[in-house]
Amino acid sequence: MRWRQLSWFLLGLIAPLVLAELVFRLLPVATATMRGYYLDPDVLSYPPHHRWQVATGWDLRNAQTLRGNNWGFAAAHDFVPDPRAVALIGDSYVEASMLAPADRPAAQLERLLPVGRPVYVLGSPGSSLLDYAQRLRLVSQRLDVRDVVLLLERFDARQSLCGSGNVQALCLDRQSLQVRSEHEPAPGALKAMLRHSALAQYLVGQIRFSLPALVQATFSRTTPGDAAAASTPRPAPQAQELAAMRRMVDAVTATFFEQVRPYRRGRLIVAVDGRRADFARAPDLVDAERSHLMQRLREGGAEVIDLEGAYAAHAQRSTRSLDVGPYDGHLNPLGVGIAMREVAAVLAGPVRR
Amino acid sequence: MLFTTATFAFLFLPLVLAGYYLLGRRTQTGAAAWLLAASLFFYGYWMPVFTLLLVASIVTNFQCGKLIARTVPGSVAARAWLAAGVVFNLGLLAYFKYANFFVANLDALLGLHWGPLKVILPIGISFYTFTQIAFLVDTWSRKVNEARPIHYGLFVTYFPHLVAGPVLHHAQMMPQFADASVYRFDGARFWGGLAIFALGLFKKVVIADGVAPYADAIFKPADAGLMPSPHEAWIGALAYTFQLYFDFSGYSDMAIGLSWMFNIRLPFNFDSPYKALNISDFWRRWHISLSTFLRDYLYIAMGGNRKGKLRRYLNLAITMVLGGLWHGASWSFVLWGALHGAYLVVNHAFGALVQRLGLAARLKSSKMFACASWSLTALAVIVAWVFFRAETMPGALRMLQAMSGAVSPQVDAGALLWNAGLHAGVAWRWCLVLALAVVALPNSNRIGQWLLQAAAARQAWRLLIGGAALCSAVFLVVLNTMRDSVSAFIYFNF
Repeated sequence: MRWRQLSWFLLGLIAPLVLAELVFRLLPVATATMRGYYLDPDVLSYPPHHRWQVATGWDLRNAQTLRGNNWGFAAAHDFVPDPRAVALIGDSYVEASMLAPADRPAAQLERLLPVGRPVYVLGSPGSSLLDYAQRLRLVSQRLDVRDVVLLLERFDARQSLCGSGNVQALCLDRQSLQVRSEHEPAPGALKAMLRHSALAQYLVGQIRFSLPALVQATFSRTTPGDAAAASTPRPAPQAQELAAMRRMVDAVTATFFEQVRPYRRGRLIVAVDGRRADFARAPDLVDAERSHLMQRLREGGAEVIDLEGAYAAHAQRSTRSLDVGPYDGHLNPLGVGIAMREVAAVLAGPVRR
Repeated sequence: MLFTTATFAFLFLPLVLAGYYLLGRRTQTGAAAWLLAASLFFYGYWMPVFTLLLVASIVTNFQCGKLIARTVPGSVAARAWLAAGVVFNLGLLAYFKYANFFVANLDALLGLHWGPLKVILPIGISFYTFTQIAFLVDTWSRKVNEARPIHYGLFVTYFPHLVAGPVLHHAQMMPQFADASVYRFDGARFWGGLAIFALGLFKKVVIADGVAPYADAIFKPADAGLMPSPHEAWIGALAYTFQLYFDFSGYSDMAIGLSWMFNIRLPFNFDSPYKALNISDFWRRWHISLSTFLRDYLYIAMGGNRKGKLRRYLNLAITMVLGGLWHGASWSFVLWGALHGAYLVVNHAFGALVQRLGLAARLKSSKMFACASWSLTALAVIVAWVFFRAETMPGALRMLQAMSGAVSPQVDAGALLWNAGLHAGVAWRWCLVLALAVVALPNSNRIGQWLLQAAAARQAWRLLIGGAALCSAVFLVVLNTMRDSVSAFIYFNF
């Protein structure tokens, strides 16, 4: 009798999970990306021609279906050797999976370039400057691409440090600033199995379930006012912090140029994201790091575009935000348009230093 | 503490339930005292200092009730004690809820500089004040005589209803606290209650919090001085219409479900209000416990419909204006109440006219008339919600101007949703689905009743419902916890 009771109760427990699995299969819950080192031991990509879904947050905003090309990058067309092609390299800013295909950086840039200049987009979320060097190597070696555009976010140097969570191959040791490598581990058997469950994908990918976070939330006192009180202005950087930051940026950029030197055959254009609002605010450590990064990139021979000026000009004309939303700081279609117009203008002009 | 948090669901509730039923086996008073202590802890979790105010209010009202009960019915002494009690309650409310508003208006009117006072509003003060005024009035009219302080304290503080209602009537609660069977575990009610709780959680965590960003994205900039485009304004107004309903009715379902878990029955607070065919019908279905309170202790006390047609309309209007002011100390709430008062007056006048012309039966059987009535009622309610949601009067007027389409061509259409990272298409889909749900689906009261009956009918169903409810509730609390923000219930503000 007790077993019978227990089985009814267990059936009741399982029923909502089965229902949730079915419902999440109908909804645009993010599906497994199956990323791996398919193309090169140091370049993370999707399986060629793989299709997957992405969405933001618990309420599945900005849902999009993406498809990998022959190289396993989310791109509109396959990559074939073409010296006229422009390689656009970066992280999630370049992949821009939350935007409609026509609004993504590669599509917008391609529309701005002369006919016959395809844009080969190699965006990979969770990567940083030293990973871009590996992709630059690859397009130069295998696709005969000469002109390369990097779209950097402000943290791209810092994210090149080992353990930042944004490293796919090479990185610098936090203490010694020596080159090491850190590869994403292959998924375990459980993860490989859970990849096929929409409910598991929702828990892990959409709401980022974590047992320690749940336990912490259970035993901590939170009130609705806490979130508002949490935002405080960042303090001005100290001399010691600035010196450490400069050492780090110098090491990262030196390693970057060392890695790309044998493969640079055309133009290297680097567009650097910046503040999109609050332009009057005093610069903080992040701003200082960004300025120093741009300076070092220029000194290394890259053509650097400071996007902050274009953003400021936009802010004077319009009240429209350049962020995907308050919940996502990536560039929205308008922001991407501004950045790509700047890039296209530089590409159309003579080499500048 | 919020019902939707992990602290409540995984810590507070299991401990309180266990203590309640374990103590209930030995002593009913002990179980009631445990629930009272838990309720005070629940209240003090957010604002510990205001627990003292709550306790002071309870002690004063209980003593006042006892003094009234000792007097001769209808005597001057009885009247005096009642007046003292009501003045005490309204005084608390006046200071904590309306002092800021009063001083700000006085400053504006007379050019004074007394404000701002920055008096903090204790959560739930409107609910526990009204509950206790009703108790005093009914003690005075000899409908009640409560001598047990623990039962009285529990009636006021009972945590499922304390901060956002329903506004309880002592006649609904005291007999239950005095019933020995309430303190004995009942599996059917427990699991059925958990299922109703999970239903309410779904309404709040998924629906209300899901549609809320679309309302916030429009109302906040409108309050800040930006003009929405007409379609943005309609999205904002509709999104808020659904957010408020699912938020508040979700809270009420959770309160009802939790109470069943404690073997206690709370009254329904909603009955598919957006199915209403006229504004009187709407008020019979929306926040029923407050409407009943306002009817019994304000409208009828002012004479109701016993003093002629004109007085009846005046009483209606005054009741609704005061009902608006009960929700919050601002002119927009006053206007919201006044608007509903006007709607009710027009509705009653139209009803009287139709009766006089002998058209009542014909119109009642006409589907077209029903459709037109529903549409007009919905429109009136949505327009009034704009005043309810907007934090400033210019913001509300901006919204209404945009909804009417009278917007300058220079307005950057779609900019408000764009800046919030939201899409109009998704917003319209939300609104369409929720409109169909509120009009076509059975309401949660009926679903809840069905669940309780099913759980009582067969043990297998009870366990099946229990397992499903437990899993769903845990999933929804986990979902709410893993999200970035803590979202309180809208009615916590009142």
